[in-house]
Amino acid sequence: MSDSDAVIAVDRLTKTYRSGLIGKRSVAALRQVSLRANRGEVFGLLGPNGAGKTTLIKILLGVIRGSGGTARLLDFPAGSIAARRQVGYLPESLRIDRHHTARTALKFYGGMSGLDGETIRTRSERLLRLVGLEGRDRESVKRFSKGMYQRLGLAQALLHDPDLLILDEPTDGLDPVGRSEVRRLLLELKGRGKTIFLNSHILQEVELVCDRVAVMAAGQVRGIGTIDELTENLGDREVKFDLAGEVDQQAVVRLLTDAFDPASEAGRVSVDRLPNGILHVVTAWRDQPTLDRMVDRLRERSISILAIATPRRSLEDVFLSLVGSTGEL
Amino acid sequence: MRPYLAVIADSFRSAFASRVLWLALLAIYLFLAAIAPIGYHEVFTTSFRWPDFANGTRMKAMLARAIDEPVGPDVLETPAGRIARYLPDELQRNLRQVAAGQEVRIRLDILADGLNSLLDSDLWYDPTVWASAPRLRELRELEQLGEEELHDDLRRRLGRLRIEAALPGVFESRGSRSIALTYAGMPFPTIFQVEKSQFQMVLNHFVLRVIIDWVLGFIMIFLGILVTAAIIPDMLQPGSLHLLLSKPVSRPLLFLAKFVGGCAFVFVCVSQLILGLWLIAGLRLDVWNVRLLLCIPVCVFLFSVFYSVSAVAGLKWRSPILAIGLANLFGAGCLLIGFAATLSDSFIVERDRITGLTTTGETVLASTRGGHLRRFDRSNGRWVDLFPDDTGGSDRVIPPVTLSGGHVVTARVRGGRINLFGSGATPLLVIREGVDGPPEPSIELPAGTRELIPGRDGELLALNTGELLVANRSQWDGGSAENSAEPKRDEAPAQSAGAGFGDWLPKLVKMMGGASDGFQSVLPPRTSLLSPNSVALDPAGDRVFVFSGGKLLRLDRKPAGPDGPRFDLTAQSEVQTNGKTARLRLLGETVVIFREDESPLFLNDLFEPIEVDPDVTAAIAELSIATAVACPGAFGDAAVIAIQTRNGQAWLLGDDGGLSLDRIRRVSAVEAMHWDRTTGRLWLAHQVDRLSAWQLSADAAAGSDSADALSRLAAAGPAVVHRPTVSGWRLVERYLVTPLRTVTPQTGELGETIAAIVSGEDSLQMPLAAGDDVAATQRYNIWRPLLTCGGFVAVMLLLGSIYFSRTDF
Repeated sequence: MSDSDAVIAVDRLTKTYRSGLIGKRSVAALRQVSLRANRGEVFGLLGPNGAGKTTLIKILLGVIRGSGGTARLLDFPAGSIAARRQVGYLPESLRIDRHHTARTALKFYGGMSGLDGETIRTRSERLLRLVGLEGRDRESVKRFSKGMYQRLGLAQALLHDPDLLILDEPTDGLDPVGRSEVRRLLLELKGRGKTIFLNSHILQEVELVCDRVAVMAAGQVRGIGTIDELTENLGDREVKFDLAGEVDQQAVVRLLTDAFDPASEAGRVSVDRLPNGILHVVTAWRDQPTLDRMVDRLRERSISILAIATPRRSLEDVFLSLVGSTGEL
Repeated sequence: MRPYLAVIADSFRSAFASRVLWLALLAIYLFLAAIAPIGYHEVFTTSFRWPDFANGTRMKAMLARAIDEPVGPDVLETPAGRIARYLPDELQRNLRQVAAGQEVRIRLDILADGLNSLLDSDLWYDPTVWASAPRLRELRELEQLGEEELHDDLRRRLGRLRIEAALPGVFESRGSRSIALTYAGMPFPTIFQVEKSQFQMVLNHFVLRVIIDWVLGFIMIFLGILVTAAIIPDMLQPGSLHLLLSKPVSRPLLFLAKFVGGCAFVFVCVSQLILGLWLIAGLRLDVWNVRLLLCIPVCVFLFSVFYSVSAVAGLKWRSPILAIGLANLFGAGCLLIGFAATLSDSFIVERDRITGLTTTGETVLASTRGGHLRRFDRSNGRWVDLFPDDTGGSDRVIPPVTLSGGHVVTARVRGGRINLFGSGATPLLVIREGVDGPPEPSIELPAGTRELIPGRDGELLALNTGELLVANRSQWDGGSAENSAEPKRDEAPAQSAGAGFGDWLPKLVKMMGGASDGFQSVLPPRTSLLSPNSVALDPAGDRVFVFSGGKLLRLDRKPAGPDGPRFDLTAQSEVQTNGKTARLRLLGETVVIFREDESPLFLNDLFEPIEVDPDVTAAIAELSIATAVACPGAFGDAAVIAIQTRNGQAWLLGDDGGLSLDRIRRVSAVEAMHWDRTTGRLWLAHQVDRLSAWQLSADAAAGSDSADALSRLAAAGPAVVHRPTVSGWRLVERYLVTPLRTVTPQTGELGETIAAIVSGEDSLQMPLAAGDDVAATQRYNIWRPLLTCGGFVAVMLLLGSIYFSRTDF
């Protein structure tokens, strides 16, 4: 990818919060963060609380200023008016003044994005339909549920047809159907060439829609790439066997250990007898020939193989692996 | 611009969604509904009220003197006697006691009731007795009406005019029609009669101002702060702020737009109230005052001062409660500083403010509003009091004048700031040229003297409410303390009936302000000055021009009699007058009458109109003239009048074949003027007690015509400047109170701005302080509150914008 494809380009970005009378106390919220989100991709940002995700988004939007490094949006300095003109933002806990209806709120935020009244009216109709608020658009937002707020937030973020969408927990508060609709919307927007920068706690959702993901912890980017790249980089996969019958556990361990290539280190084999009598065996995945040898040896001893599984590592595994098992989402 | 307009428009939407707004609007509509039934109708001015008496003492004295006048076949009754004898018995008894020299106090309202009792019948009226009484045009016209044409009100009006004619010099000038207020068509329980112009003045200067000051300036602003204090903290909530800041807007402008939007609430309320008031004043009271609508932005501006504090506090601490608390604290601070500044004005500055000025030789003397008579000590550059201040500032010093011979005369009227007549006798005070000692008391001045006018050869003219009197030099310059009338604290007040020791007649005459103690009347027999009046002498002192209640008199000197100077009436005329203040001055040979709210009149010495440049007369009519000083001899043949306006400007009106009017540019806040013919200098007291003198002389204008020279002089700086050293308290006022007042928004003074806007005038003439034209003028501080408040709001918004821009949220 060339630089011109980078919609978000963050390079060694740092942010230190200082407090106290002369700024004696300081907290490093971002430490040399570098990442790129490219045009047309859905980029997911993951990390536990306090990882610096919100700080990064604030810097991208110009809500706060970085202490060092650079951040650019659509080739404009992050936070500049030119950059913000092309960004649609949905904050995590959206708050819309209680005197608004969905329609007046869109009129207000459309006006703030510099749209004229006619454009706001035309686009509002379509977006209200799109986010499922048609028919409730003249109701006071006081009566809106969290999900309806989110839908309205999405509509306002899309109102000025931005090139970049920064969405902070877009499906928060939505029911499963709503979540599915949002996912479909995101994919549709991606199809239209929009870049989406997604901050979400729902790893499954990120896994489903994001092309690339950055995992942050303690103000640093711990991992970045496609989900495949991240899971592959995670290291050994496992092979799981469910074996039937009265099988000698020690013999199974020996058979499978011998199946490993003598030139390489043998994987550890763990065996566990399940209450239903099935022997559950887990060992490391090396490659297909090794697996073939394992199957051959088991079958040579007439051991029935009830099931073989070579499960792929999940994003959660990646996440936990990168931030540690105690990391909060 | 669109994003910021969206923010402002949203604020209006927010305001309209506020329940408090609708409650406030409901309260406003109820208030407007409550005052909407107020109406008025015009009636003839018939009944007397105590404020109608310009000179109650004179009236009592006239009635007391006339009540038991001898009447017989050969002695004609006087109108005053006729009236006195038809008054209620109790009042007659009191008047007889006054005539007998007893200490009887008669309240003016009782006198008014007594006169009112005469209006229901005309038994007391006898045409033969009134034949010689001076009658105004209206009276003459009414007397020509037939019986059938005189309905009850007209009869009462006729009766009132006859009474006024019988007691000249007693009554204030009143219009023939008055306003009677009604509520829902019902007359007010108590009679409330004022002229339409007075009614409009009261409405514009006081009523509307009070409503705007209190309802808008206090209640609405407090309410506005309560409602709007949450706007900025609400904006700073993360879910709201981050979204706003993600939009393509500049932070300072977003803050300013929120601020402007925050004023929406008050704008909506204020505009409803003021529009309502405007409509009610117009539809119900016929006062269509478009300027009232200008109060809308001024009130919103006033709110913006407090809201700027609330907004910045909300920005810093993100707490509406704290924002409200700080805005209120700030308001209390402003009130406190404003109060301190008012005290400082009243007790420090005002007492030093010069009201009259004169010079003799190199000495400059001045009277002050605080009742001081001062000489300027050039060597030390400070004012020196010529008598100690032991009255707490209740005395009034008649502006000093310099008589031919260089002697300066003045008088100290004890308690004169409260009562024009003062308490006790008022001796003339003489300051001899070159003598640094205290002024010497001389003869007693006529009661109620408010102006001294120098005549020729040391003559002195004294003008009071009903008389113009003259004393020649030998009379006032007896110089002996034996002849003096040293004021005595325990002497009976002139306003009550006098003490009598067999000398009751002169005493009564003195009470009437008539001839006494060496002063004799200049006016023709049976002539009294009516209000408004003004007098001017020609430079030679041989002609006296008098304007009296619309009448013009020219009195020419005739050979002096044994009692002193005598004048004959040689010309008279009448001019239209609106009853307001008028000043007669001589511009060379031309008689100029400066009339308030009307064009000046230019007349020859026979009172025939002179055609003059209409542009100049229009320009003069625009000036709100406080006083005018003729400057004879300023430019040889050319004539000059220096004009002081109520807003403290000085102008030169010149006549060099054509009229010219030029403002003296290098001076402001003019307090008093004096023309020193000897040195050719026009002295101006300004900025409380500073002195500057402009050299108006043919020499200064060498090589050019007078009009050009006058323009040049008006544009030039003064020839002499004296900046007196001030007292310690003045230093405190100058270096502590004034800077504090300058940096603190003077929200309280915005009421004056509002009063000025509503009235369309930059000063208020206080009718109670009669006899002291300059002191009676309250100049509105129109720009100072706008500047201090505007500066404060600008600074607060700048601070808020910087803070909002530089802070990480």
